[in-house]
Order: sequence, then C-alpha cells, then structure tokens
Amino acid sequence: MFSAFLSVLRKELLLAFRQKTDVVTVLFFFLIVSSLFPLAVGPELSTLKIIGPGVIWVGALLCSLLALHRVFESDFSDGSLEHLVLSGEPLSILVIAKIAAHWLVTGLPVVIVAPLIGLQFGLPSTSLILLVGTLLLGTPVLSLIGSIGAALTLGVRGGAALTSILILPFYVPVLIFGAGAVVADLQGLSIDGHISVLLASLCISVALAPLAIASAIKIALE
Amino acid sequence: MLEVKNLGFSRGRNVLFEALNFSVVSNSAMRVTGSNGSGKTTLLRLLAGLSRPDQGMVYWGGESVIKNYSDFVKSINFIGHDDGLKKQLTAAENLKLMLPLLGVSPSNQEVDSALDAAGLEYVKNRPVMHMSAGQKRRVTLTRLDFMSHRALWILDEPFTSLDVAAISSLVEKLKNHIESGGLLVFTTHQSFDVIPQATSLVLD
Repeated sequence: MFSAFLSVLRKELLLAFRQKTDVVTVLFFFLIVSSLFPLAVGPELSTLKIIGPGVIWVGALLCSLLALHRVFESDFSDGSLEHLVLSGEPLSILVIAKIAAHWLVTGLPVVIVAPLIGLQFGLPSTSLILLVGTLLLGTPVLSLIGSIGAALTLGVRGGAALTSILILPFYVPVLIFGAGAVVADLQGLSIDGHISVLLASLCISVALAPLAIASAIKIALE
Repeated sequence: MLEVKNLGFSRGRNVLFEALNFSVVSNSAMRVTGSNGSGKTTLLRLLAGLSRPDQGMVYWGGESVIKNYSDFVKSINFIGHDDGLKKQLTAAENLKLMLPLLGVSPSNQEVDSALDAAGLEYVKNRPVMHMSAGQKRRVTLTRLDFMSHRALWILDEPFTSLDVAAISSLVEKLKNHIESGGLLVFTTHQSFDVIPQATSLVLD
C-alpha cells in the first residue's frame, strides 16, 4: 500500500514538474488578484490593514478553485482513474496521495508567497506569521473539500463551473475563521477559537473527504 | 475459475445482452466477438467489476466478485481502451510509476529491458505524446511482462494498431500465460484465429 501511495505521489509531482505553466498560472493569479485591491481601494494604510487578511484569504480560495478541475479530470479521460480502482489498494488512500500532490503544487506556493502580499497591505510581522499559519491549516481543507466537488462532477459538461457552485458554501466557514483569526489578532482579541475550528475542520476533512471522493469516483466510472 | 451466470445489462431501453452464461477455467481463453456497439467492452468492464450488472452475477472461484472485490481485483489484469498513459511522461516513467499500483516494483533495468524487448529501444525515453498509436499500444502491453502473478487477464482489443511483428509477439505472451495456468478473456476484430484454443462468445 505504501509503495502504491508513493508512486501516485511521485507521478503527480513529476507531471506537475513537466507542466510548470499550470503551477505558475495559479501563482500569478494569486499575485494579481491580491495586488489589485490596494490599487483599487487606495493607499490608506489603516484601510489596507483591515482588508488585507480577507483579500489574501479570498485570493487563496480562488486559486484553489482555479486549480481544482485538474485534480481528476485528465486521469478520468485517459483511464488512469480506472487503474487506481483496479489496483486493489484502498482508493481513499490513493486519493489522499493525489490531493497531497495537488496541494503541494498549488496550495503551498500560495502559502509561501502570502507574506509578501501581506507586506503590501502593511500587516505587522506577527500577523504575517499568523497568516501563514492559518493558510497552512486552511488551504489543505480547501483542496480536500474541493476535490469532493471535482470528483462528483467528473464527466459532466461544464463541470468546472458546477464544482464552484457546489463547494463554495463549504469553503465559507474556512474563509471566515482563517481570515478572522488574523483580523482578531490585529484587534488584540483571542484567536484560540479560530485556530481550533480550523484544526477541527482539517481533521474532519482529512478523515472523511477521501472516503466521499472514492465513492464519487467509483460512481463516475460506472 | 471465472463464471458468469444469467448476466444481463441494458443501457436505457437498449438491451445489450441478457441471460448470458459462460465460464472460463484455468489454462483456457475466451474470445469475445461481435459488431461495433454489441457490448463487448461493456461485458469486459462488468467482468472486471468496473460496472455493475442489471441482472446476474460474475463469480470468481465460486464467490461473487462484488462481495470479494478487493481480493478479486488483485487476481485480474485489465487493459481497456484507455491506456492510462500520461502523455507528458516517457514510456519508462509511465511503466515505473504504474506498476507499483499493480503490486510489482521492478527495477529500472527490468523495465528498460522489457521496453527494449518490445522494440521501443529508441523511443522509450521520449514523452509518450510523441509516439505513434502502435508504439503507445506496445508500451501498454509491456505491462503484461510483469503480470504473470495475476491469473485472469481481461484485454479489450489488445491487437489494435499493432504491426505484424508485435501481434505475433503478443500472441506468444498470451499463449504462455494460458499454458502456465492463466485465464484470458479478450475481444478482437481480427478475422483469423489468433489463439486457436480459445472458445468463442459472439455478442449480437
């Protein structure tokens, strides 16, 4: 099982390495979206500080959406998904490998760049660290929940748009608590609650999303 | 032994087949023929457990494959129309990353020599997207060299796009598998009897 998990992970990372433009596109999208806000809102530092965490979190969320359709789509059309099912290994474990790879190439770069964007909004260094922390907890949740939507819409025409509509409501709590933690900290409030909710949603989605995705894939292949 | 009892499958109102009964035992093969759209691929997907029948059941060693799917699936080697090759990766990379899923982890050398034997010596390190249809098929079929531990081979149109030399080498592999106790179910449009000892199932 472990070697199957590793081979899926390696294959996904190698594919991402061969298609660097896909990764770069997502990153540039994030940079553009979050850099446009200061230009539009104006250079008032107190305003920027307040909207900063929210803008960065929305940018990360949109990036996650943008990259989602790639998680299973090509595997579905070229028959690789069948191979995963026919391998006899637990499909939910292999799905975790795919999503982990997906997060490493689309989620992690965003988390790494986020502090730079935060500087544009005049966020203090403690907020920048907290921002990275909440994104590290939150973006995997986005990938996991989003993959459920991607798996459910496999083979459906206009699947990408449908995925967004399906899963956006489930993204909202992560967004509220992720961005909320940074804002609360700026205002000197306690953030324990926010972090607990983020951690809880990460645990729940790691445990349950792969099972849901595995079922959705099996349905799509029938 | 693979046994099919009273198998039926329909797509909407279109009944592809019903009350289908047959069995395939060790050391034997079955060839499924029929016109386009007669349900050959569907039948193979049902045998591999990728779709569920409307009626009847597929049995492997006397047990329903759906109940024992995780055991059953480790005894089969299914090669369908979609080859699962990633076009950005080379033939060698594709095989090396695909085989661990099927429970074998051959060394780089073993994979390379299998690809050389398949006549892909000069293209094995090229991305699959630059290969011809026949070469891609050869890459896919190289998998068979590592699949002797899986008893039931289910192959959908294995001979498509292959040249004469590749067909005869494939026939050789299939015969070897059957002789060493394996089972084989395959579809073909080939008019000649590629595997003479195979029983025939005609779908209409």
